[in-house]
Amino acid sequence: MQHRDAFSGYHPLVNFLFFALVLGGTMVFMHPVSLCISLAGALSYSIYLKGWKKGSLLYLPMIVLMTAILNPAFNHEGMTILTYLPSGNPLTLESIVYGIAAGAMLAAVILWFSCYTEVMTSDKFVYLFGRILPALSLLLSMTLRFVPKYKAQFQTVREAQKCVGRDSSQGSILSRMKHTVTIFSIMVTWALENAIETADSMKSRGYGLPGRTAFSIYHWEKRDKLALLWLLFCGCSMVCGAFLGGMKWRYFPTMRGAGLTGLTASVQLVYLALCYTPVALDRREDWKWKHLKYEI
Amino acid sequence: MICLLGGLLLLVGCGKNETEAVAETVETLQIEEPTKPVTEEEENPVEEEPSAEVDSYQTDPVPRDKPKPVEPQKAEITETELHCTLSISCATLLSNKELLDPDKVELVPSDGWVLQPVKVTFQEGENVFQVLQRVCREQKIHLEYMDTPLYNSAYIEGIHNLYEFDAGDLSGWMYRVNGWFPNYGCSRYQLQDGDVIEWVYTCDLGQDVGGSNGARE
Repeated sequence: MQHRDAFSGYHPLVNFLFFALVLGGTMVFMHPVSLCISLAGALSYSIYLKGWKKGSLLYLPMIVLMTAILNPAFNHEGMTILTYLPSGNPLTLESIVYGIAAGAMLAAVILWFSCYTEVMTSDKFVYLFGRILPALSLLLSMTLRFVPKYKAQFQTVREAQKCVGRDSSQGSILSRMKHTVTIFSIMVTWALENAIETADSMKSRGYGLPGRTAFSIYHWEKRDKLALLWLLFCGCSMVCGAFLGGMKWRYFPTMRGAGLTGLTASVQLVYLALCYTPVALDRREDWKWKHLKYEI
Repeated sequence: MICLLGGLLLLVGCGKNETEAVAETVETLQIEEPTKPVTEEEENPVEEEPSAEVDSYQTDPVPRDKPKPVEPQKAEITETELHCTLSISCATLLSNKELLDPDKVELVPSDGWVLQPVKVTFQEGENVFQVLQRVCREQKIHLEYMDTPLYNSAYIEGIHNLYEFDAGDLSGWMYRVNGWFPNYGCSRYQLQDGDVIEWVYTCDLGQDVGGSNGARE
């Protein structure tokens, strides 16, 4: 079941800082426990946001499997030799484990980014960076907007052509090719015209002029302050913990890293809490709604 | 109009002359090349091979008293069993531990020997690389290599998880046979009975093991 996401309602700064921290942590911490935490957090938030669809997450084990096979094919480092590859180079346990770890990291980053696109809409991004990087944020939001816009227009053109029997799935192979080229040509013409119209429209609305303001409905509330403090606390303790070696793990030549010490446990716990922050907020809100409903 | 035409003609003329000149030099080169080395070799034999006779792998001249490279594809391996001595040492790392990757310091044996000199049986026609690979497998020593078609030889990237560049930009594995560092790859060195092969780790492009081969001159 799909839920209304409470975390998306927070201030864009809180949203952005959360994803910056989580993505940074996922890419930097190669400790197996950290990777598991990040992957689990990303998976649960992604399922919460987009619902559980059968087969939609099938690509994740595929990524892990692919890196687990590809890495030992090119990397032969490691003390534990399992067997020898046909090339004559050793197949080591460390290279397989490193492949799995790299795949888990890749999968977690992809999942976090899929959540990011759901939560950080382009107006939030422009709101945050419109002042600092006006050109870049405008460019980014326009470019990202073009993809769904073109997709929709392509669908419209195709359907219109289908009505007159000129879709790329109708007729002989030669006429199909002709129809495809026609659709493509229509799309190009439309895109060019659309670009001119957009430019004219934006110019007349004063884009690029100094002092132009943008409408936004984001308010800085008390809960945003609390969330920001929490994120800053998590970020600082993670950085400190990492510098003290709490997240250290090496894969070559032998696997070894920070064991179960107080430091490691506490840093990993903070990381776990950080990764589950949006899901926890959402759950709390759900529970609150349910409770209020009962009271009525 | 006429001026332009003249200029065009001039340009064409120039171009023609140039191509002809190039063609001439190519021809003379082709004529000279095969005759020169033959006469030199027959009349005044020198200490080193004439440079005109470089093989397809651009091997530098091999000293007269040293064995010439034998391409592994052409080597004939017979049943005859011969013996050689093989050792693997990373003693240079003992004095260069500060250069070495901190994760790999524990790999360096206290005496520097990854493999103490051992007597190895090999079949006539085998090369240094084949012997190294077989011994490493038997002794359970890690070995990673890469085939480099450019030099028609295997390149040893790492032994015992000690890799090239692990102790600075000038570090890596080198091999020495009977005290000489061959100037060609280990797959092209065909072994003779009684050869002494030493694999040594260098931290200074061969200078610290006495085998720079003039690389830093």
